[in-house]
Amino acid sequence: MSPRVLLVLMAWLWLVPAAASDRPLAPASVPGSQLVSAEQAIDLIGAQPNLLVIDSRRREEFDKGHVEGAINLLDTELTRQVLLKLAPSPDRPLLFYCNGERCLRSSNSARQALSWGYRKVYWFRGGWQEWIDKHLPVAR
Amino acid sequence: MISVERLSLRDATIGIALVSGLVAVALLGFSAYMFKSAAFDSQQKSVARVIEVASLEVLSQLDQRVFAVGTSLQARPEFRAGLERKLASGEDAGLLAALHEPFVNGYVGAGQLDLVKLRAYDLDLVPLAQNASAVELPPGLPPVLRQRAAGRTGADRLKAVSALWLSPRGPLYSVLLPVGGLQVKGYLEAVVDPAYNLGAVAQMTRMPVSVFGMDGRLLHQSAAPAETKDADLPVTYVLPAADGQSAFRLVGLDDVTQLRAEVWRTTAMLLAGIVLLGGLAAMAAVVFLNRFLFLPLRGMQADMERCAGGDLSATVNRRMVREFRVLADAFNLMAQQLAARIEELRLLSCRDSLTSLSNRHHFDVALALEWARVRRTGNWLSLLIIDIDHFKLYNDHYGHLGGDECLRAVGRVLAGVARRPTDIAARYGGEEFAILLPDTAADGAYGIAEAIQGEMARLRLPHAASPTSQRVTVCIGIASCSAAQCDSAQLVAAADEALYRAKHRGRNRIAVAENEG
Repeated sequence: MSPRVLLVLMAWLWLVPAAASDRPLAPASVPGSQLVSAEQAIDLIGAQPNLLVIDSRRREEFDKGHVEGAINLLDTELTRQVLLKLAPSPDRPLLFYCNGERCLRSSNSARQALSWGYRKVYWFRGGWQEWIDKHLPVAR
Repeated sequence: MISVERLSLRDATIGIALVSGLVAVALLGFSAYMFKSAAFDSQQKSVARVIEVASLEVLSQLDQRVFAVGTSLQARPEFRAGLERKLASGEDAGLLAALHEPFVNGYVGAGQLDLVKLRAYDLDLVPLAQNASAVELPPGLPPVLRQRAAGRTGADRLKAVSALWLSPRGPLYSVLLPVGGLQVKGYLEAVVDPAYNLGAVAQMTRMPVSVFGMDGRLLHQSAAPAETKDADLPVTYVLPAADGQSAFRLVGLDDVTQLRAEVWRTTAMLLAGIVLLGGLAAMAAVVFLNRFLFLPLRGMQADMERCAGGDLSATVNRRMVREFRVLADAFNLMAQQLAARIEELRLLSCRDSLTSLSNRHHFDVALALEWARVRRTGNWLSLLIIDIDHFKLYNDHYGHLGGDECLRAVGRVLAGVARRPTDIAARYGGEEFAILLPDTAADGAYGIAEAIQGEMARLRLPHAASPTSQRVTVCIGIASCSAAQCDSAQLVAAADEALYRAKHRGRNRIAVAENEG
């Protein structure tokens, strides 16, 4: 591959996401999961003590602050075995979130959990951005 | 009061032009002033908006930092334990110790916040404890914060609320955040002095900014310039507290050197444009008015005065603006009509109405003039006096209308004979006629007399009552003289005498005066 072709390819790879940077990346919904807001997430945490809150962001983001009680599990690290270890029963409620509208990790994780047979999957689409915008408690 | 009759069009025009010029300059000055005010007002509004945005950004950053400080403090196990002990047994030593603890942490330690107070509340926002600090605040949650925080339910109780509020010691910024994470047990209020952070507005806006309290106290001043320049425009923005009252007065000094220069440049260009264009227009107007109004008017005045002095041949020059050209045309027409009427009257006053020859009066005037000319030039002057023979009998026979017709016929003969422009044929009285022949000696006059008689013979006017002939005949007396030989009266007398002699010799005769020179 000539250096010129490489340069053009790099420019393309950089330009395409840059041009699309204003659009939300996350889907509007994940079929089979229930979409929740920050307030609904808090109510769920209070109402269902066995709710497993999964933070799909990177470790360093998680360490700066996260929803109290959440565990950090990146979508790329989420496998059926890992999830089975954390939630052996498919009836265990799961709540996924990541950075918000600009993030695909939590929707991917929710979709995977659904494909593995989990029946109570909640997706907090607004994610961390919505959480801090609403000045909700930050756990570290 | 100026009487309008004494006012000249030229003076009035110059006066109006001067007044218009002065008004234009005054208006220009006023509009330049308005333009400058508008430019500076607009600049002031823009810069005030910039300061507003910057101060809101500073408050937003402040809010995040206070929130971070509060979050880290309430997460400490000793704080949570202290709060729980206070709630359970009322023992507040642990809580107080925890409240005093954070003065070494993060933002505060790094000098990014001026933390004034930390206060703990239970779930009903009843005060539990506060740290001891140099600043004493009124007990309890600030009213505006209480308004926002009280009465919330569910997840809303977990949301941190914040407000800029007015305390007796000045404006303060409070953030109230839940303690205990998602299982809220109480609240923590972190109170900071925002004046400490508002100095950052200067860095954001890149201009010197001073922060004043509403009591006029200087709370913060950015690195001020060595001296305040004339070009600095003070811009004030009043930052309101959450309840709408004024909290801070931020005064920025905006460097308006460039704006000032642009305003001056625009004003100068406008002035130069108006002076140049106005001057050119005024010059063109002066040239035009002078050429086609004032000068022609002066000429018209002179021409009119000439006309009034009797020279009706003088016409007014009509090359001027339309209104005055119409006037000139009307005047010229009037002068022309007047000249025609005068000529008509003059002719009427010189003519004999029956024969159309000169009348006796005109003859006398002409004789005097010609005699004077003879005296001057030394030329000959001849006079013929013609009398119709037996005219009384003719009148008796043919009646007065017939007599008149005869006189007209003789008049036509005389007019036909005296053909030179200087010859004057006149009806001298009754049936007597006279012909004045300038520059003509006796022999020339005699030839004329013969021509008259020849014409009369050729005409063959019947005279049935005449004892001497069957036709109308005339007798002619001739007198001639040159310079210094006679005077006009003598000339007439000599011609009369010759006529008498001619009559005496019979009828249809010509006689020449004997004393001719």
